[in-house]
Amino acid sequence: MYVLDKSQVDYILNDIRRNGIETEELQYNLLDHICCVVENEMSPDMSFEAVYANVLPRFFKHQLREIQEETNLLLTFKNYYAMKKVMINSGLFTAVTFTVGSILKLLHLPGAAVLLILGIASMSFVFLPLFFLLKSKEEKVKSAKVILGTGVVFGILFCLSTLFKVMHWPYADLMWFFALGILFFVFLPLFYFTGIRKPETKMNTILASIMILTVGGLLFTLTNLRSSLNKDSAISAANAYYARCLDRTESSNIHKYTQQNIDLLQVKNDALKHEVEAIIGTINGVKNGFYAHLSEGEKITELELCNRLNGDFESVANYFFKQSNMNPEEDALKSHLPNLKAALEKFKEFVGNNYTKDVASILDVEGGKRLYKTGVKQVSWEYLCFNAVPFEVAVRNFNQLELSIRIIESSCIQ
Amino acid sequence: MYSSELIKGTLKTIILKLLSDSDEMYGYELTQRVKELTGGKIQLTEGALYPTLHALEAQGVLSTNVVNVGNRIRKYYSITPTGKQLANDKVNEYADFIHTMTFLLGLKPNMG
Repeated sequence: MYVLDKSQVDYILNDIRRNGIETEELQYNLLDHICCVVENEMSPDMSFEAVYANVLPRFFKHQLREIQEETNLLLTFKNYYAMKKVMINSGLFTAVTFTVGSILKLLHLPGAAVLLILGIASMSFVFLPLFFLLKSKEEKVKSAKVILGTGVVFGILFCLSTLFKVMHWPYADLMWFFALGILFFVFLPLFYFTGIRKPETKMNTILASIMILTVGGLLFTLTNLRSSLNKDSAISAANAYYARCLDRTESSNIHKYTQQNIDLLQVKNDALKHEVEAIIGTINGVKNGFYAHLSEGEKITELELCNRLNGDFESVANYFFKQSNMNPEEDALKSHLPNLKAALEKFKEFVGNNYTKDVASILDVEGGKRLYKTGVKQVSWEYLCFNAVPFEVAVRNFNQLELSIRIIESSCIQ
Repeated sequence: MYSSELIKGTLKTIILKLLSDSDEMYGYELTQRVKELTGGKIQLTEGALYPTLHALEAQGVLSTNVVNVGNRIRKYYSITPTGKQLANDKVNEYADFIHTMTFLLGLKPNMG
């Protein structure tokens, strides 16, 4: 029997590759098969090229590529069912984790964050991409694929921005606006103008577009709730007022210190100054630690942080309390506030002993009454000022402490 | 020669059965064996054979063994234990199918 030489084998292999067979294993399968046929039909008086040219067309109807396409189809068809299964399961998983997570979040129960992250991640990274892959295979027209793609991108961004917002992670708003931008300026025009051209889809396209526009508009309206400009201005104004008060009191105190020229009183003033600086240092230490924790070390203004946290009670409570169930009887304190309270009480004692109890009473760490659904409860100072309060309120309480100290200082300087 | 539509539905069954009856075979050998057993009445086309072989391999029904033959590589296919089971099921299913078709098409009306 005739045996093909290396150059002839290479020639066939190159020809197979040129004709669109991409999978290496398939190339070698076909190469061996063609070689077998050629070797069987070849006789010494025939030219290799002529036999090959005669054999090759038997392998296909139109083009050799068909074999590659058929292989791809059979291989992906097998994956198709697996992908569909994963898609459906991830969708179910998202539905369950998201529902349970949202309920836990609403009731301030533990496990909410984990479930929400898992649910949204499986939606964004498993369900929606698989949905795109499977659906785009079914769509024959390119424009339908593009519409599907932008829709899926919108979906992923929308889910992620919600997750980021709920978790108070940065760039949530940016993602949110980007998602809405894609919806209004890319998805909707593509969807509308493609669908309206065909008489059979015209009516449905118009109806669906109106629905998308309405729901998108509602979502956009909700964006306004996310951060209110009025609140921003109020916080800025309060901050400016606080800074001015603190600044005036401080400089007035410094001036008062310099006015005293009796040695004995100067010594007393120095002792006061020392105590004041120490307690202000302690307050700022706790405040800065709290601030750094919530901003995750990022350089960010109070207002930005306030908007990022968006009235979230838990982040504040979790910094100061070991198990924050937002319940004064259950929440155990971490050390930040008890240490600060002890320092404040020491300062209060110092002022009470050396000056008057009346002045010392400006500083109030007694706690107070808080209104609950079940009635009014007497709660501790730590709980009243720092548990179940929004970030901006906690900051305000720290600022108030500092200002109180300065006012006490002002009344004590002799 | 039968029409390719008829053969297409039975291709998997043929491949699995032939491979479960022998240790290992390569593509060309499979086509030749079928031709020989059916007296040329059934000829497997390469365009259908190789895609099916690849799909069955990906399914884990077939395993392969690559051997150097002269100036080229030859891929031998053999059946795995799961493949053997599948081959059995397919052959039984086909036997049942023939039985039903015979009845349906009225080839032997007294049967059934």
